[in-house]
Amino acid sequence: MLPHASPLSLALFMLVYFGVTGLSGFILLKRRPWLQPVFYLLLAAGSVGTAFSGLWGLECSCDLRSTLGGGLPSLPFHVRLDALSSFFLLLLGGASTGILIFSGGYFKTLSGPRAGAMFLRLALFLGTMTGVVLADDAYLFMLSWESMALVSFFLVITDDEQEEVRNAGYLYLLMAHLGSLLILVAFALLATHETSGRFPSLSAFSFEAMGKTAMSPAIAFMVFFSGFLGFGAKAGLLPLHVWLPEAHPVAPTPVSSLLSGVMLKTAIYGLIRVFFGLEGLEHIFFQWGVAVLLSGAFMALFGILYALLQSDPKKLLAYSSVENIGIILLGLGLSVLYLKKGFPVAGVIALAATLYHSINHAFFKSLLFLGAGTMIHASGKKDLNAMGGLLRKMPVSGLLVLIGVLSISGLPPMNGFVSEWLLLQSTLQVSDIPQTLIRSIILLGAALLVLASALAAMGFVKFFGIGYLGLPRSEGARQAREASVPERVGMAWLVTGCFALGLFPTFFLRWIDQVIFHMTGLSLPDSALSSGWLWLVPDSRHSASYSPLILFILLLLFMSLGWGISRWFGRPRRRRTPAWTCGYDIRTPRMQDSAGSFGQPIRHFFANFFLMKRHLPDPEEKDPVFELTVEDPHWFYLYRPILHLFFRLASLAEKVRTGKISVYLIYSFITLLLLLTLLRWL
Amino acid sequence: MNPISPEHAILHHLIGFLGSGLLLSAFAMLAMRRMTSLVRIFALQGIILTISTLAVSILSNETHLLFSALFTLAFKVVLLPAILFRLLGRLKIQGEVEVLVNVPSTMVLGLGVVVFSFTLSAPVSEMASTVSGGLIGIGLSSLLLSFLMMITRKKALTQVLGFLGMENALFFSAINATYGMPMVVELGVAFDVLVGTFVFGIFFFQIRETFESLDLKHMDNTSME
Amino acid sequence: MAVSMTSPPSLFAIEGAQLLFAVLFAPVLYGWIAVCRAALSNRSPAGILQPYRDLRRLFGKEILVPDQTSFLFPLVPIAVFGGLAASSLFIPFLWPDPVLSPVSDAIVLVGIFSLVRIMMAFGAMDTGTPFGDLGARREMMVAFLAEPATLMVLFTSSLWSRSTELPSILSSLLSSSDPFRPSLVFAFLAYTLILLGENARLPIDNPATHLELTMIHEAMILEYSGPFLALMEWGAQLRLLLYLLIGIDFFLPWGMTTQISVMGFAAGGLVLLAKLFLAGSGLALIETLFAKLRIFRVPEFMAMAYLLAVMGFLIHFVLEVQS
Repeated sequence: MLPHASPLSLALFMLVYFGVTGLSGFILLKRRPWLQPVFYLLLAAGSVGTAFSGLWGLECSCDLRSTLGGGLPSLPFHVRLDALSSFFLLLLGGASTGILIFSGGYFKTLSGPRAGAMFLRLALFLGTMTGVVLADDAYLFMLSWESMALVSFFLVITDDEQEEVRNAGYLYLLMAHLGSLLILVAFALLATHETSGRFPSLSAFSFEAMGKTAMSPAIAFMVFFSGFLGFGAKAGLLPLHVWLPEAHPVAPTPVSSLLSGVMLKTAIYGLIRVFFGLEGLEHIFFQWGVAVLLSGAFMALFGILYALLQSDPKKLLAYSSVENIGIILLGLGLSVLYLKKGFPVAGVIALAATLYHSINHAFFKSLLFLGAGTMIHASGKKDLNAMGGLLRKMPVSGLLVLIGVLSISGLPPMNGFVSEWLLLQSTLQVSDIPQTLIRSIILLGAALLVLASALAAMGFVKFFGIGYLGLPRSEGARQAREASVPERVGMAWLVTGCFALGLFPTFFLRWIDQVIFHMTGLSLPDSALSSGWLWLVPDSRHSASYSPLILFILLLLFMSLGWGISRWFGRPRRRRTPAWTCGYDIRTPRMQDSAGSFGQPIRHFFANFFLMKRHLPDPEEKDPVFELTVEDPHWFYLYRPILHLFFRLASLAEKVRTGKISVYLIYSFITLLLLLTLLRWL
Repeated sequence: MNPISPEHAILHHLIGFLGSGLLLSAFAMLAMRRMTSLVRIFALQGIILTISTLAVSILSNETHLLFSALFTLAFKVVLLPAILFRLLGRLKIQGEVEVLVNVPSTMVLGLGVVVFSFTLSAPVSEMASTVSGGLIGIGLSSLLLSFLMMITRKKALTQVLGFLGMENALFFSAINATYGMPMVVELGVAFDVLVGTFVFGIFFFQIRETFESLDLKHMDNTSME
Repeated sequence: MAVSMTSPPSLFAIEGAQLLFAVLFAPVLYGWIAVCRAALSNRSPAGILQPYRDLRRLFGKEILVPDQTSFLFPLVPIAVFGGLAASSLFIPFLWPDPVLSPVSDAIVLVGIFSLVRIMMAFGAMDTGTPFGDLGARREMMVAFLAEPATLMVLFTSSLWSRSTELPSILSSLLSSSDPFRPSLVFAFLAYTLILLGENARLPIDNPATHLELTMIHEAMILEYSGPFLALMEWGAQLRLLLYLLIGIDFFLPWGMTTQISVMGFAAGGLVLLAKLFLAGSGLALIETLFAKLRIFRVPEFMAMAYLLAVMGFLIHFVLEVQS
């Protein structure tokens, strides 16, 4: 094992720690489920340790490799902690700490056996994700990746007595396997190339060996796109995203939070590892970057449009994850494009924005999922239309969610804004590119990005406004109670992260710079890092600068100024009265906007995007019902035809099945003959 | 580009400015919902063409372009709009433009068309020796936008306006790419357009008498009968 | 910048002057537009200082808070006023390079406006009244296209200077010798549409309407009263002024002083006032000429602004970048 203390040994220790804590929790919690908060705190301590190992790795700019026992003959388990792994360890540990603290309060109603099982699964989930980030050979990577998929599948189907949950789980598993298959193809191509088609020796499957292969453009193309689609399936790339809005809502809240906030980022990690690490920029063509950029831009728009129509808060958040992954992919594609075209400054800024948005999304999306969990818990229904007025009942968690909402809407001075700002700064470097078409594509990408982020603001006004504000829309919402202490503490942890990321971007940028330098050999312009921690300056002071902290202080200052004015000029008397509502004396909760009606302008304006079925009642109907269902067009146009095709093929195959044993033997015989001829030829 | 005097530089910029005005007006045609506004925009296009032809003629010292400018003024700013307004009055068309594809979608399509033609004309523009290179892209995109209007609008009169817009865009490109076509060709085209408008005008009355509407869908099956 | 270096205290004094000017002049501008509109429609105007009288009246009243509202409700007017007042520090209008403008570039400004808008929407939805929800929904409907359109206009202008800092954009516009900038024509048209939409002016929203069902902005502040309403109104006036000031920076930047001297500021201030009064009468003219759009047409109107802005962006590369 490792002789001395290093970030890598700490991370590996945490891996073991997750396993041990998980098992002991599994055994102890069966009998004593009330110990849950304590155990979750222990697990959270493990997450903090993981985050710390990442931080340590970034600070010492280490690149540590090691091999462990086990694994395959001539391919022992390789592990490595470089800047990229460190960054994602930081992300993983940082976001999951809050989620785990929250879990201690959230699961308190579970019975013993279920509590133990849940705890074990969560611990294993964290362990496998850490394994993915640390793995340095294809075997260990796939092992961790597949166990991660499997564990998360079991987490998704926690409430497996409901059919909806089982279906979502199977869909997820199917997509996860499809993705793994493609990733495997990418790895195999990366490893086999040297030995010209023959199956290579196992040692070629270590990432170190894979990173050194030279390859033809055709192979590089296949590696790039099977990697893109394979990791994309996990990240929710269109049209492979369909599992995401199904699986995230049905899972228990901390699980959906981990899935969306953390697990999606392992896919981003994989993409960056394959593109920049294993395949290497020198084998990538800029057109592929354009493809990634365009799919990201389209994903962003699609995701947020569908988010705007949802009334299940978790589904809304899941579609918004599609949007955010779209933004991340947009940045990734943009950076590939710029770097290949020879514009290092713009490319590096885009890559920094990509990484920054990944960690931002990990924090605010986890926070919002937790918030949605408390909302659902308080009102008893997974429907925004059954909520309302929750902010008065749960002011603390409501305020925390509000901060998350401001963050995800990309508003200064919060963190979502920083990454979008950086991304926009990098698109503005477009004037350097000579080709009109590429320039137009980048510009349209920027245009779609700002459109998506404005729509996101509308979507989250809906999320918060319908859920937390106004009058309670159901009996459950009227009875709502504030979330438990561990839940609030967990959310507060994530809010702290959002503030840190939003107000002190330069610290994070310095770490991100380590990652970028490690992956591409380039680094952010000097001015970006030497302007002091107060100023965020991507390129030069002349071109753009932003100081979130000063802005934040100024906003607070001027808000107190506004308060002072209203106090000084105005009479301080304040009286609670019934709402005026222009003199109408009836005011019922049903007169408020429903979740559907708030999204109506979007439905109307982007009608071409949606597959809508509308049922309008007849004037004479006794119980008039207005019904509107919106379906994801990918189901209709892509998956259903595939499904039909499969059924058709299956019924064709049915004809071969006669039931007579001699016929079956003939089949075997013919197959054998064919195989033998084939062998002769080869 | 060879060194140019300051006055010429200003003329260059003026032409670029007018070109973007032409593109803007073609875009505005897609967005407008009133027939009368469409005709007004067409007249505006005529003014833009007149001024830019004048500018090109000063820039290139081609005197025949002066006549072109005058013709443009007479035909496209005065005569054709007058005829069209008269037609509108006679046909009692006041209301809104009827659309096959809604306005925002048409405009997004239009944006795509603009990107397409800018990309397409980029290599051509680099070779162009005459005036400003990007103007070819502008001409092409205005032409395609007018075409788009012909495709996506229902009424016959909008089609005529789209047709006239296409002619304007063509004229603009021709002037800027090669300092205009030979005088004879220009005159011929101008008269063609004029006659075409007359024919359309007569045609409209015929259509309306037959179908009691100017909607093009009534003409869809004419070949079958 | 071609600005002489000066001592920090005087630079902060300039910031103070900018703030005071913005906050104090905003009601006057509103009054001026009302005077122009009245004159154009043959009514007798109430006077240019009427908004001040309204504010004083509102500040003198007591605050009524609807029952069943949360802690957000009283926070909103303060956030609206505070956010907008803070923005006036970052926009160069009395002085081409305000000392605090590096804190926020143009994109951040749009972000602050968006923050203010979202807070207003929350305030409206907090009351749980149908009109509040209606206003919030419509406001967000206008915004989801207006905000990206604003950003695209900013980008178009920033392409000249390769910077999103307002002072850099300003100085590069001032030093350019090119009199016709086609991309700015597109940007200007788009910006005019945005300005009308974002500030609840006529083709989109009628600031003087008393019919609740046609309201956008007014519907959101129906439940506010007394000093809170005063802050909301003042905020709206401030927002219009800030939009005009940004527009002036982009499209009419000439005439600002570059020397710290009393004469310089007096001359620059007079030019600025002239521009603002001119822009105000232009707005009044537009509002007199156009009828209010149907609410379904509003997204089309804003989409037009968005597309025009994107076109301006494209045009810049085709016509204005000569290798």
